[in-house]
Amino acid sequence: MNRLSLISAALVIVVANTFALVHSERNRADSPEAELTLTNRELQSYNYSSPDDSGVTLHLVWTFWRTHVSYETSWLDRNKLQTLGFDCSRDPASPDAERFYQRQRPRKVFVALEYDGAAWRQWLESCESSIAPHGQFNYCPNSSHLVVMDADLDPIKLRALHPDRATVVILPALIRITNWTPDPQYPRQLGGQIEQIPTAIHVPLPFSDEFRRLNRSSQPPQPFRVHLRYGAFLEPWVTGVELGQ
Amino acid sequence: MNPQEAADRIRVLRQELSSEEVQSVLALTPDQLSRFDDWSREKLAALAQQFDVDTSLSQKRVSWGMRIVSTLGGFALCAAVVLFFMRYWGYLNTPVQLIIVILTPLVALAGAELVARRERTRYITGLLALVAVASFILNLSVVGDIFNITSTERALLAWGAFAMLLAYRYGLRLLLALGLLLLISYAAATYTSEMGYHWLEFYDRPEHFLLLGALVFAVPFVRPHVRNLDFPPVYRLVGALVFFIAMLSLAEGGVPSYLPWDAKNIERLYEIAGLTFSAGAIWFGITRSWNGIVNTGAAFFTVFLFTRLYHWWWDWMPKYLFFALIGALGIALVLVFQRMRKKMEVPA
Repeated sequence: MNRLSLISAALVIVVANTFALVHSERNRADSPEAELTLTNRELQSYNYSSPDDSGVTLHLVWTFWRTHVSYETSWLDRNKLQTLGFDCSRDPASPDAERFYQRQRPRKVFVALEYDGAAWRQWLESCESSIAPHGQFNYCPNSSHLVVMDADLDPIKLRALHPDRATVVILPALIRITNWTPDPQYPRQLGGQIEQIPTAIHVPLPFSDEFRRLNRSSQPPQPFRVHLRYGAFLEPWVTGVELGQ
Repeated sequence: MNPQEAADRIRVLRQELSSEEVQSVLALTPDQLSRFDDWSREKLAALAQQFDVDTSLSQKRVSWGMRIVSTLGGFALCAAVVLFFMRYWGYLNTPVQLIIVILTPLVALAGAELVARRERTRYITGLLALVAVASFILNLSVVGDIFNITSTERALLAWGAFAMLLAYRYGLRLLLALGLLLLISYAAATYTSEMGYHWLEFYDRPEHFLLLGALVFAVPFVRPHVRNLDFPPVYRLVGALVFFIAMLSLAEGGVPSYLPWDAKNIERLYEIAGLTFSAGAIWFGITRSWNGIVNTGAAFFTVFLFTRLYHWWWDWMPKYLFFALIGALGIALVLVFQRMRKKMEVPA
């Protein structure tokens, strides 16, 4: 057997790892694209180090208008969907509209998520007016304060529109066009469903030890704050963890 | 003809020549018999020496057992490596995690190479090569997790290329099938991504897989395999399975098609195409003596036929009658196959 295939196989491993490590280094090399501190409302873990998986991974939790209000008040309307590349030429109420919009695949976009800002306050107001009458008083204020507030095909353009790097983070996402009505009594309208925002954030040592010390059985859950940086490729890393009392 | 097929033919010939029935019509002189016996023994011994082929039926049975055990053992070892790492990786700092995950596939590769130089049958080599591929998949997944890298389809290319290199180096059919599936997924994901969609949506448009399955099926026609003689059937089987599964999913749910027609019309088109192509696969397999393609074609022909009948009859027909008709159709198909088989009989 000649050695070429053996060397090639080893090279595939080395090249793939080098590519990943250089990519990661370049992500973290320059000044961060965004730097913000989130709490246990925005970062949740279903499992801080289980017997089968000792790693600690947090998951970003975000809020979007669709949760409680109709598309009429959402920024992700027909005009925005058109700028994102969707074909919105068919009347949503027409008989063949369902198939026409169903055939359009989700598109790769960038979304802006604002933490604890005007978008959150607006969402809270709307949420309380629709949910509070049903008795779920704590639901709205305890939801994630990280709200998806804009989308664009170009992350640089999106950053120029939302320049505050301490409260707004830009992330890749998918948007699926939907032909939907909040109530069968009303006509169908176009809206967007946001999917596939990268939510998993690995917590390395020594920060992961802080999470292992958390009392998981305490009620209410023990609060914490996590300092995050997002790099040139919009990929995050943890720079600090503070456990609350 | 591969070495195992050559050994099988000599073994069968030896058995036939020693039977009384053949001896009654083919009388060889003792000298001829002795010379044939010596030649066939030497030939089998040489094949066994060079390729470690099975020279008796008992050996063949044991080899099948070893193949199954080594494959299952390989999968179990892969699971053990992944689970062991997951159990302890959280207690290691990032440089140590990286060293372990990068070295593991390299060590498994070195192990496979060392064993391959000592072993002709390739059971343990196959097992270690499978562990090397699984470790490489774990490697890139963990590096992606550690640095929160946004997932891309390029990992599929690296994994597929690695599996293919090991398959060709050690003559491993399981890794060839795995490598082909990874490369097919990579090609579909790249096209999907180039179209402006998320790469993970690649399974959403099965028509990609019709083309890719046909391409994989055609590879052995373009690139003859002189060394790995048992690889062309793997290409054909993987290609045919990918092609027919894609066609079946389009026949059952026409919405994800590129064709700008009504979903029902697309489903009808692919149902007819599925029946035609699977019947064609049976015919093509018979003419070329490709058992795998005959069986795959027959299985998909039956599935396409029964799903069509289900759509026609299930709603308006009593269930007992539906199953009775399916049973009757099964008998009719057996009769058709029997007639086909009879036509292929060597004339007396």
